[in-house]
Amino acid sequence: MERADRMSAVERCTTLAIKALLDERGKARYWDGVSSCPYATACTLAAMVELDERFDPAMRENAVAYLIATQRQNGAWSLGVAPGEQLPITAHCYTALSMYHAHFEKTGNKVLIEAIRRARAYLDRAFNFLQTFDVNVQHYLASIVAAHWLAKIYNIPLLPSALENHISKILADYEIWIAKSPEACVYRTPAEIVHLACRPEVSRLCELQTRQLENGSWNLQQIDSTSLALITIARQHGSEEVLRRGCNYLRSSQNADGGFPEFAPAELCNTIYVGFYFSDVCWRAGIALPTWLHNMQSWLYQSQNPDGSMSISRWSPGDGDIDDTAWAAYWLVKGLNEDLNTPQLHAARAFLEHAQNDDGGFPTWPGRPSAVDLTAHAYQGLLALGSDESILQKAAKYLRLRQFEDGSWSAMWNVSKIYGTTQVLMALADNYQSEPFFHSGVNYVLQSQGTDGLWDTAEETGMALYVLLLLDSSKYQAAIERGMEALVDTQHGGYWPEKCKWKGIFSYTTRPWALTPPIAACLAYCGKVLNGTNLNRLLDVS
Amino acid sequence: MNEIELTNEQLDALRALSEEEIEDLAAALDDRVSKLCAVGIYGGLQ
Repeated sequence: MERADRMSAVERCTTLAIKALLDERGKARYWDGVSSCPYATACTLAAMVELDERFDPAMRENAVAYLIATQRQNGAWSLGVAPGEQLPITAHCYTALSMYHAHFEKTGNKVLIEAIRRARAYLDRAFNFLQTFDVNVQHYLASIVAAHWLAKIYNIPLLPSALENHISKILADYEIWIAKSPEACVYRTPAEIVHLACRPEVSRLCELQTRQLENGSWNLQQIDSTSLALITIARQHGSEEVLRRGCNYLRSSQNADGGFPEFAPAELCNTIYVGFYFSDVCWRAGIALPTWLHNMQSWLYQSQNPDGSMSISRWSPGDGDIDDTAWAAYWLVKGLNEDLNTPQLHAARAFLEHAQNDDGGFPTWPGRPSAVDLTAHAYQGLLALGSDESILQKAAKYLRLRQFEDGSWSAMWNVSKIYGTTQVLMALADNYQSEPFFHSGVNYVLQSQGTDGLWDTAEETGMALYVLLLLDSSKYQAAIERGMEALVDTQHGGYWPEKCKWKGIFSYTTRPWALTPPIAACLAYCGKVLNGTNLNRLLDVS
Repeated sequence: MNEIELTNEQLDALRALSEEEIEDLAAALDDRVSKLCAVGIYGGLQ
């Protein structure tokens, strides 16, 4: 393709994607949408069955339709990202649909009955496997404690009797754990809530009720915890006001597809990720942030927690995490050119520095085990914040020690090694790019490119291309050109085909996360390779 | 890997599942099961 044609094609692709990204914002002009997941939808459907008179029947029907539409051919449900996820997600979906069927569909709904039958067939195969191999499945079955509890209440056969003992043992272990350290039980996990549900105690019920967040949810706005807490409180005749607020939260969380996200809103987490990437693009290109990100400065400061951290949402102020704090700090320093001596940035730096573990790495939340992606982001944030060299060196050493032989790194919150590897390379690019281990990481990225020019998904392709473009792009020109061509060719109406690799049943599989890295790569390509594009013009599409 | 022998019941349990289902379940369990499943997929079932 001629240079002028290539420039025109990449610029058009970039403009369309930025428009799509901006269209994804909510009314408040930040990114607060979160996509649905079957597990969360099943938990909410169970709550809507139990608390039936409090919900519009259409909400339940839409949730059922979502679950039927997302059932896989083999009768199971999954997000396709976490190892072993099919059984726990399917156990919850099967139980919730069976509860709904028993409660509302006594006349028979063939599609629903068929979905339940297929789910049952999968569960029979999977449970038979677990029994036959006589393995220690207690840890695994802990993930279906909630489904098991709900199934018992509604007389739905879920587990074969041979596996029942494991659940009893799990709950008994909780009893011992709670007796030893009652203060440690903060109703964080479904199993903790189910334990309370199975062994009612007034003081524990009160404790659960006081842990309700301002927006009516529990525990990081998680839908599973919220749904189970509401069922527990309703069955134990708890506070009417708590139930009212909790049901309002569930009502406000249903997506247009009928499903529910695992937690919502995640407006800080989503928006800060976008701000972080664009800040890096603009800072490296020597241009100002577009107004649609620049104008968010005061919102960003208002969202900071008193301890200097940032949370995934302003509704969850006690759960400041390392990723969001580091990304927000980077946005403020590099994107908005804020003075490092402001009290807010001092507090953010102190929060991050205190979260460093003895191994040099950083966790998701202070006090938890270290992980590569969190450490890479903390490094980048602290480097921008002017942190002490000793702290940065310890973090870099932690990252170097976690590199695999093939040059890659694994992340905690995304199954893609391209995510893990590119986040480390982005973080260490300014200080370590001449080191052999860094070259090995870059080689891993280069070797992972598919014959179609993509790194599997457009999201990963954006991450990989962005890193290559940060470095001496002329050295990687062939890979960059093939990748850019593939990005342009596979875009439709501003979007690329989505495939979520974000981990676990937490469904922050939102489009801003998928769109941002490819846009960053396109902008970097326009600025560095095409060298003639007016980036401000591309960015100013609002 | 093929030195490990599976019982008939274990083979039947594996045959009932697709390869993808076995891999999904095995990934959540311990190494011994993963090895047995690998025998099932790459040995006993073929």
